[in-house]
Amino acid sequence: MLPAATSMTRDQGAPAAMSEAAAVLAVSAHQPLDTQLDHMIDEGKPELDVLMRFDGTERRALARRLETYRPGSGDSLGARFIRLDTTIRTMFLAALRAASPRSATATKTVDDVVAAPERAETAFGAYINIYATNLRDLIFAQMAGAAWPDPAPGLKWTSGSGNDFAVAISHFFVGKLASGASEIVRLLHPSDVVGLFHRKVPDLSHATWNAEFGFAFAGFAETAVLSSLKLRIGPAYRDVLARTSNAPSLAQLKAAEAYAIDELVAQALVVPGMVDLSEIPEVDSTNAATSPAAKSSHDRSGARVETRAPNRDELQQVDFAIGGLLDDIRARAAVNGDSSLSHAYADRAKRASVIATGDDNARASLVSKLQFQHTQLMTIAPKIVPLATQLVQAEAMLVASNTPDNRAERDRVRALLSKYLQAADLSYNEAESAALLRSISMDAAIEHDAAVQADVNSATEQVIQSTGHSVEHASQAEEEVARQRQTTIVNPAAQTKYDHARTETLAGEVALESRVRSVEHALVQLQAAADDAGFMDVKQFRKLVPDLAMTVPELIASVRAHLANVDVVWKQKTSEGTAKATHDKDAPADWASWEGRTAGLSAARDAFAKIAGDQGIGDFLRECSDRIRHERMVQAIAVVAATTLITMGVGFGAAALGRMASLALVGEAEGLVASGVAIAVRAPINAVAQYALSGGQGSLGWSMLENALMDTFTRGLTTKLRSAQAAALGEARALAALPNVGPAEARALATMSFTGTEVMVDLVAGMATQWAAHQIVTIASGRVEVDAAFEETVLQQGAAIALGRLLHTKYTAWKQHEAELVRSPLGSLPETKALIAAREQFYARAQQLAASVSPDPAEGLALQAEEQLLLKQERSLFEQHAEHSNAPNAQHSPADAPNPPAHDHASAPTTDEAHTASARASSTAEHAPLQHETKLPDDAERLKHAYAGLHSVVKDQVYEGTAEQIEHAFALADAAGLHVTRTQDAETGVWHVSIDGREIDLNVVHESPAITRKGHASDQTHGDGESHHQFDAMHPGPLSDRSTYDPDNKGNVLPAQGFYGGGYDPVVLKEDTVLYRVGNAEREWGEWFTDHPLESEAQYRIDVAVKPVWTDPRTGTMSEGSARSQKQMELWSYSILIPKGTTAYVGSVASQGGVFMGGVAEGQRQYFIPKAWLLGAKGGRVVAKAPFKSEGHVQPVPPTSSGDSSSGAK
Amino acid sequence: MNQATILAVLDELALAADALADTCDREAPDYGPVWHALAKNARALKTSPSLEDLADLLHGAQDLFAYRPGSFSEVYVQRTDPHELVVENEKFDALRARVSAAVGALKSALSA
Repeated sequence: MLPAATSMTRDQGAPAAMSEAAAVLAVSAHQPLDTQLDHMIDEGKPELDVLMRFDGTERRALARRLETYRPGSGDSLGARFIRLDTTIRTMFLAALRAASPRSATATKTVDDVVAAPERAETAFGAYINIYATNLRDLIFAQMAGAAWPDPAPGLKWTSGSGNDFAVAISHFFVGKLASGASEIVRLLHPSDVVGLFHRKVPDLSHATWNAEFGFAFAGFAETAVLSSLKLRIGPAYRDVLARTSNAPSLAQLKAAEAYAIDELVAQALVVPGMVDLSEIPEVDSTNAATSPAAKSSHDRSGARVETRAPNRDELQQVDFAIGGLLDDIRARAAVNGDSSLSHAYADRAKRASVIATGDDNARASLVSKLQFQHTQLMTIAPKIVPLATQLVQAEAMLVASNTPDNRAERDRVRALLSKYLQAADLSYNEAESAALLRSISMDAAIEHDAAVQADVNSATEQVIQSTGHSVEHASQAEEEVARQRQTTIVNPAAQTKYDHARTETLAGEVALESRVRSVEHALVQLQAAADDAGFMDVKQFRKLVPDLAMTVPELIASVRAHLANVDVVWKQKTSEGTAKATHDKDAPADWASWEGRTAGLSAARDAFAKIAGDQGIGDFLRECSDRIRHERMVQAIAVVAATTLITMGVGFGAAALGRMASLALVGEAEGLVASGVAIAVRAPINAVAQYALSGGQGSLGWSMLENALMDTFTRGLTTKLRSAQAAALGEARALAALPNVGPAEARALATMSFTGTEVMVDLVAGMATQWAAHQIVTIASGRVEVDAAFEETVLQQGAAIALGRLLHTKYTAWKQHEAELVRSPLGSLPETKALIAAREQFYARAQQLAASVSPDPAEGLALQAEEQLLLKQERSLFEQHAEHSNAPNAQHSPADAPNPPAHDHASAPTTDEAHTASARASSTAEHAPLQHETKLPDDAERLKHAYAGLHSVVKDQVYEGTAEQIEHAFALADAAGLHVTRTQDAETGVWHVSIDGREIDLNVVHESPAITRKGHASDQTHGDGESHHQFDAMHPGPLSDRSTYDPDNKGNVLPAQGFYGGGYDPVVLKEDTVLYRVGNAEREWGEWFTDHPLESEAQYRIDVAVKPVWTDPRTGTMSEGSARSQKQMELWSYSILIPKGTTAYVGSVASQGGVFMGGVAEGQRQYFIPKAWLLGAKGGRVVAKAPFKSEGHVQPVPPTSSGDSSSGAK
Repeated sequence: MNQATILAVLDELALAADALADTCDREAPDYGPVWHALAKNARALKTSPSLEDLADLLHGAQDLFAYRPGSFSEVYVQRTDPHELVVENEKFDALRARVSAAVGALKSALSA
């Protein structure tokens, strides 16, 4: 296989030469078509975009004229045209006949392409048409140079190599070049060939032959053919042959609809004599069992990996986890308005009976699919909340300011979220879901590079425009960024993280330096303008604008002070951030200096941003531009504002920075997910993966891939495990060093041995990474190419298994330790018994994790935290015992005292003491805690996942739980050593918590005393803290009954979807209860209520998720004719007495999209009472109403009357 | 997509939406114009029923039937007399059901 990037270095021949010649062609857009064509004929190259500016009819007429030219007809243009080379003539005619794009504006950027896909595809199609000859040659060369693997194991080419196949497939592929853009796109799916085209040929006014595009195009073709041959058509051919003993017909090689290339590959394979039919292969019953990956599944000691088929319970456990993830994703993505995940749910329902009642074979057939889906969903789930939050913010921005930029940002986030949701919805379909994630990764990488490039370009352009000079290294930075973009697009595997970081730092330095220079120059201009206007004279300036807080000289001084600070901070932080040596073994030699430069740049950027954040400067510039009319002065102020980015907002390069910030958010989320294990260099893996895909060495490529993955993973994993063990050592030593322990306790401590730790880390890490590598290779070899994020999730799963095994292997050691503990005076204490019981549970969990079919990485982290907690509890036990024993000891003689009191430690030890001390010093804890050498990345998440089961309401900001759960969380957090400070608001009961400088609110939730659950007397909150409703997505209840709420199967939103996550409970009101609603002045009743009055319109719109208007069916907005009267728009708040015995459905509020978030926080509980207006006949009535105040609304208290329990539901 | 079926469904949808709109004009004026607009759109599509426009019409109608706080699902006919309240709302529900059936038929016709 010939990677595209490598191909670039080959002789580019004639096309490149033509490109250079044509690049100098300049054609005025104002000349008539035949004149323009005249120029082009002189140059021998058609200018596609210039031709596209003309009307299609005119172009086609000219094409006919040239085509039908006959010598002697007097047409000089035709005469010169006919003298051109045949190929060139064909290109001209194709360009003239190409379909017209909708817009005449040149397409230059990827963004523009996205905005005008039709145009993009049209231009692409025309380009392919024009340069079909060039592409044909490259395709033939590419296919001929490729190392074609055998079509399938046991099935060989007749010629012994794939040469004939190369010729045939080239022939078939080239035949499709004239089929139009959409067909080419289908053939090269999933490669983004149109995107590639517009990146390589960004300026259509010079749409000359681009050799890089040509090579990449041919590379895409080879990749598409290779994957078709290897993954789909080759195996299909083999299967048919094995079953029928006859060469398959074209019809028998059923091509996958999603892959148009399959049809061509099938055509090539069925060419007589292409495949060696002398030996009929055996039927391949299971891919997994016979795949090269499976054959190479040996652990480091050479033993085969356990391949036991999981039992029903194990499979169901994974299936339940999948269901939980789907629910979670669906609930959290509700903001997108389209998160039904119906395909995924339907597929789950379909396989439920197989899992429950199927035999071993049937279940075994599901294993890999479930593992993939589980991992894929765990990869996707963490992306959803940040994106949903971004979407809400983008919607809010749009409400505040409906600008094209804000709309574009909203659309971008929505599209990305939708793509993730689509990947989740199709997560049961490995190929499609994996392809979606891959495309997201690719888009993100390209977008990130584009943002960096935009930043450096805009900054360097700015300084050139203002000063006429460029900043040192500017061109180098631009070139490197451009090269990086190209690498990202064409051959991501060739790019290391070091190259990437270095390029970004260099680009950032140039951009910032440019901006500083621009500001300095702008200040000089401002001073000159102020001199000219007389504004440097403070008195004169004050006469004109007496109330401004600053003068021009003060402004200049202030900005210069900021710039000086930028310089100081930059140098200082660079110096501080430059380590003497880097700890990263794989890093290049000068990496430490680059790390320093990166740190310095980051701090300098912050310092520079403070100029824009300086309110005094901003106010002054804005006031001046409003009130001063001196033209030069106004211009100078505008330049200062522009260079300090004040008019563009705080940050770097506005749009580019916005995107970078978004990416950073996503990146942060990814960082959290990837917390378990450090990922080592990816490039070698990708290189080997390409080799494996080529399959030229049979199974060797796959074995190499698996080994490469294992090595890489092991490197990352053992580092983590070793540091965890080092931390555990410290903890255990502290435990062993406790004063005043008796001989029995000392023996108990002495049984905490670290013997064999080093070996164990290697062993466990090896097992875990082998598991992860095997998983990835099995998936990749048998089915699909997975995304990097997916691999990371698998690796974390492997890490979880490793932790489970590591922890469980200490069980024997723990039992010895436990025996000593029981024999000690501590053994009879209830705390000790509780500790022992907790340990048993802990090891059971570890064992379960170690044997999990598809583990949840969070469980590994939770176990680590649990281990740490248990050890602290044990330490506390010893400490307390020491306190108890200390006083009596003071009464005894030293000989009686098994251990001296703490203050005696300084004295010379006795022999016994020395022995004990030695035992303590060398004591190790084979069952000792695992903890990271640093804090886990998100203490709040640990708090939530590991212990308290607190429910996230707003990620990283608001959680909720019962008072008991929150107290428990605090206790656990304290025990775990998390630095948590908290205060409780006396009025609201909300806990304000600070964890590592982050502020988090914990809402206390409780049940309504006036309500009992229908058929459930107890609270629905389980011990895990998650709210389990009687009805939810997996257990549909009456509010999901389409025969009642959607009898015509229109597909409209059901009442159940009005509840957060679709979860709700039926309740019967035990007594008359006042519920509340806000509505217009015309109707007092409705069907949706809250159990407390709302206090503001914001709460009404956001918390209770009520939109101001519902949409017009055609336009998506209210139609003009439906403009409402003031009365209709006026909101009222109603207190409505609901008679006892009424059945209501209660749950948290679902989002209605956009800022209408809903949620699960305290006070957001809502009730659905079907056709509540009919309750009037049963005593229901409005007991109070008042015009609803948009802020600070206070609902009037209803007049007291018998039977009115007044807000009893609260 | 069967053209004749689509035209028949659009016809019925327009008639049903108009009938509902007339009642809304009287009983729930904020929704009268919405249903009139839908009826008008359904009629307009009879002359040039493009798939995209039909899908838009369907989605818009589905949106109107959504069970959400503050949506049309919460609209009812107000009467002080309990018996009259029940009777009038049954009539209103029948009108709503007629439009619902037409929207359901449109969905079926589009997916056929």
